[in-house]
Amino acid sequence: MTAAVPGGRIAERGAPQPAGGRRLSIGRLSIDWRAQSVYVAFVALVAFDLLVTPGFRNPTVIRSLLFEAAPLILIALGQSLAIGTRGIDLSVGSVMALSSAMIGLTVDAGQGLAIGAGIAVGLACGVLNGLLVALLRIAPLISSLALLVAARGLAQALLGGARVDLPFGGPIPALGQMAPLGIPVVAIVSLLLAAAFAFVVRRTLPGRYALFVGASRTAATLAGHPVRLTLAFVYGLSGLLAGLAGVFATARLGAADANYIGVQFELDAIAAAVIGGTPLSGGRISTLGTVFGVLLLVVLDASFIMNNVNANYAQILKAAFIVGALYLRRGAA
Amino acid sequence: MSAAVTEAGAAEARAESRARIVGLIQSRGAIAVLVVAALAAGLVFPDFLHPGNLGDIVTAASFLGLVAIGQTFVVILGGFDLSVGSMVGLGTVLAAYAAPYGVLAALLLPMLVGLLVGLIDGLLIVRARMAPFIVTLAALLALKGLAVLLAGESLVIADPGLFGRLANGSWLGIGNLVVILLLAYALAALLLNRTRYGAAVFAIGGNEEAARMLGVRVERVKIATYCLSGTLAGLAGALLAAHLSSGLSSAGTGYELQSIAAAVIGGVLLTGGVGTMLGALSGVLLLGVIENVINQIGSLSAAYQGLASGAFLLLAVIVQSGLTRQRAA
Repeated sequence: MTAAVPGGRIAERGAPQPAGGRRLSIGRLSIDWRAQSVYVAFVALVAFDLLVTPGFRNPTVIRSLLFEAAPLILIALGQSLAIGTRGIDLSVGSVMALSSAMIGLTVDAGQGLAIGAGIAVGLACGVLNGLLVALLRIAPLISSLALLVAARGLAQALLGGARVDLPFGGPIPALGQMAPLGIPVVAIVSLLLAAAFAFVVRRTLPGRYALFVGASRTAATLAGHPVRLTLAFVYGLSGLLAGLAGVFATARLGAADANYIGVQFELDAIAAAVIGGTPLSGGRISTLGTVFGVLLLVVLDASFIMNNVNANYAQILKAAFIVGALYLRRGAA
Repeated sequence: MSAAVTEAGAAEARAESRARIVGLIQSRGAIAVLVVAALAAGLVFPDFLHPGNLGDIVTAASFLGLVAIGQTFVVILGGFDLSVGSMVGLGTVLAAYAAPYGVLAALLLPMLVGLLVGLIDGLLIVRARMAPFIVTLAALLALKGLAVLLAGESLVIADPGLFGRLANGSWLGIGNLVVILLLAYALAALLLNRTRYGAAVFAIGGNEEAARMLGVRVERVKIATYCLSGTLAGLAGALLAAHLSSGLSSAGTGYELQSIAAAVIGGVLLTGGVGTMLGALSGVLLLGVIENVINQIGSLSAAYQGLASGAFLLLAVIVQSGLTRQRAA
């Protein structure tokens, strides 16, 4: 039911298009409209929840949703830039787990150091991934797949499969709980980083190069742009953000857990980026769309849970929702 | 003049023979590595080369092996099928449901559902022009949800009987699953290399537009290939259920990536158009050998398996990409 509401509205409005005119000016209009679909779907879903879902209006719900969204936003940003270069980064969820494991290992030596270690190991994974893609010209799908398998294995081996509980006081637990005015600090940090990310993508050379590489790697090479450096930067940034996401997720959980943190997060990150208007074909990116893509998925999950939809039905409905959303914007994607 | 011509001809011949050697390493390298790895493991762990242990390795790898056949076809075609792992889980559950109605039902129901899933995937990819990655990813989520919905954690087959013997029995001292696996790969190799359909798969993976212009029915071949992949994943699920005497909704988790990894280790190029069934089988068995060796070491936890498999995949891909560049040069 929940999934059908925004999907249905999109279908209604999208339907009356003159056939054959898609590629001309009318088509351009329709693509422009499609690029907004994530916002329409988000507003529709929130409106539905406010009207129907019991307890959704409670501010603590928004607070916990934002806690959920914060790490996802970070990895979805990195993901959207990787997709913008016509690549992909499957390793983000496992890198989060590795970051969590590093925190578990180093937390006794000081929490600031532990946070640094978590972020650093994420950056290291990202740079390794970037070097594989850029220098050895390995398909990003495969290099990040290998990293997905290896990083989680390493994280589990480091912690010996156990969950390491964090102390109750200090900066890490504070990250997992502090929410001035009901807005979690981690969400504020994520949104600020999203703003900085948008600036980097739109206004700085690395960002422009990344999209150029995505539009045509050959053209970027011929134009003399530093393609390899750009790719290393993109995957390094994705790893860095995944490391920070691991810190956030660990702080929220209150424990370092290599088996639990970030499992299948790469799928949500990819779905959020693509729903938000970053086509898998590369060359284009939407930062705001990615953020709203994450929020949409998080609210969708919450809608299912709060309406007591069986978790397994919920998974099926979510899959159908993602396919439906992408089907509607397939002209753009 | 003629000297220059022969010199150019000699250079060309040299380049050609080098390309042939590189191609040979690419397609047969995995089996060589498999043999070396098995021999090395046999030297370090005396029990490793015991026929019983080798049989165990192949039996344990047979489920992934069946999935990897379909995945190899899809990758050669230039696509991905991420739904196979969940389909295996759903297949075990369906087989457990159907087992009381006879062996045939327990085998056919998962395969039919797999066929249907492949058909839906294929139609969405071909008719709706959606990216295979996204379509099959959504199928991964949906099928997993469906499997848990049907079975919860697990569903025990009360009286496996003939169905259980199908997977756990043996024939002339060779486990049935080993026979089934080898038979399936032989048939798949025939299908890939000796039929019009196989030629069409290669053609589409090499250059879809060119294949279309040459009259290949691209849409049909694509849909058929996703159907093949789904059916084989269903079969793998049915056999796994017979092997375990139960349906496990979590069975097959990770098979989607492991099957891609096995295909790539075996020399199937992710860009499509290149690959062999023997290579894919070697890749599957190599992953099985790694798993077995880590179990033999005993002191290492299962976590190291991920680390070793990931590292191995990376190594294989680095060598592959180096070879591809050699070939192109």
